[in-house]
Amino acid sequence: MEGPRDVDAMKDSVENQVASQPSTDDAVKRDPDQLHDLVVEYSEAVFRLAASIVRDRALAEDVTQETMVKAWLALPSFRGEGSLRGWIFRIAHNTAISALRSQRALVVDPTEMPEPDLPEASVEEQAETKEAFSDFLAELHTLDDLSRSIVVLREIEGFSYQEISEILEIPLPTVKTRLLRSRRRLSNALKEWSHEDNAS
Amino acid sequence: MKIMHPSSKELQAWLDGNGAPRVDKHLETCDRCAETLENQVGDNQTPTVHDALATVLKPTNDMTDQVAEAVRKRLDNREVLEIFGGLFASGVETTKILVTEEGT
Repeated sequence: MEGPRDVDAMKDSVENQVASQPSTDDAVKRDPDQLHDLVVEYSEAVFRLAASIVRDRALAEDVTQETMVKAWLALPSFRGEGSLRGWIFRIAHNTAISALRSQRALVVDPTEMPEPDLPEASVEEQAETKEAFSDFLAELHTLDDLSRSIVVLREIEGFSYQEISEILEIPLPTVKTRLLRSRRRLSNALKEWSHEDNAS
Repeated sequence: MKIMHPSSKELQAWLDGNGAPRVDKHLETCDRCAETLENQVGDNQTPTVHDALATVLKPTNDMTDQVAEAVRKRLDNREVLEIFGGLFASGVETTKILVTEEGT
């Protein structure tokens, strides 16, 4: 796992480079270290958002890859209106939604959508984690795509309501109300598990 | 025009996932009701939800390296296509189609 990184320095570095790049065609020829920094800085966060939307780890990795390629190629067109982080998350969200639509077109029955896998761990650890979070996962799956995105952007990535509204291009009250409802439902799912665990 | 805001009972039902479509639509744009809901349930960060989400959405340890490698390869391929396309004055996407159709 990477240690703490100076996000601002990396962002400045990428943004300075953007300013010095004349066209999109030159995007692929830029410093490979900068590309690596971009991927290291954002890929895990992009994966979390993508995984929450597409609910499939392999597809979420594809979306992460696609987002990084798109972001790198489009960096010269980033004008610094809003944060670089927000801009990358907007690309990630749109890419994930497109991937989800493509997948839904292939999967006729929505109940056939794959269950999300859990991170690499021993079989026993996976079984325990799956049991512990099964209600939580079930509740997460019942949320609509937009609510899942909102809850991840707020709870995990720490974006403000305003930033989420801009990233997802939705009104501010929608962010607030969906977040409140999602939190409540997810918390209840965790409480139910916690009560069951205490009872056993 | 007088706006009909949902009652607290309707808001509660919406929070529990049983809201009427009218309430759903209303809450997309109503600041006042968003505030009412905030006062009703609070707006604190929820560490347990945060922890659970972080666990179920955690990428594998080597994902970043895999993505970095895959992205680098894709961009390298794109550069090759750009050079190839430059010879025939065609764009990357057109070149990609031509190359694929030739089976190379």
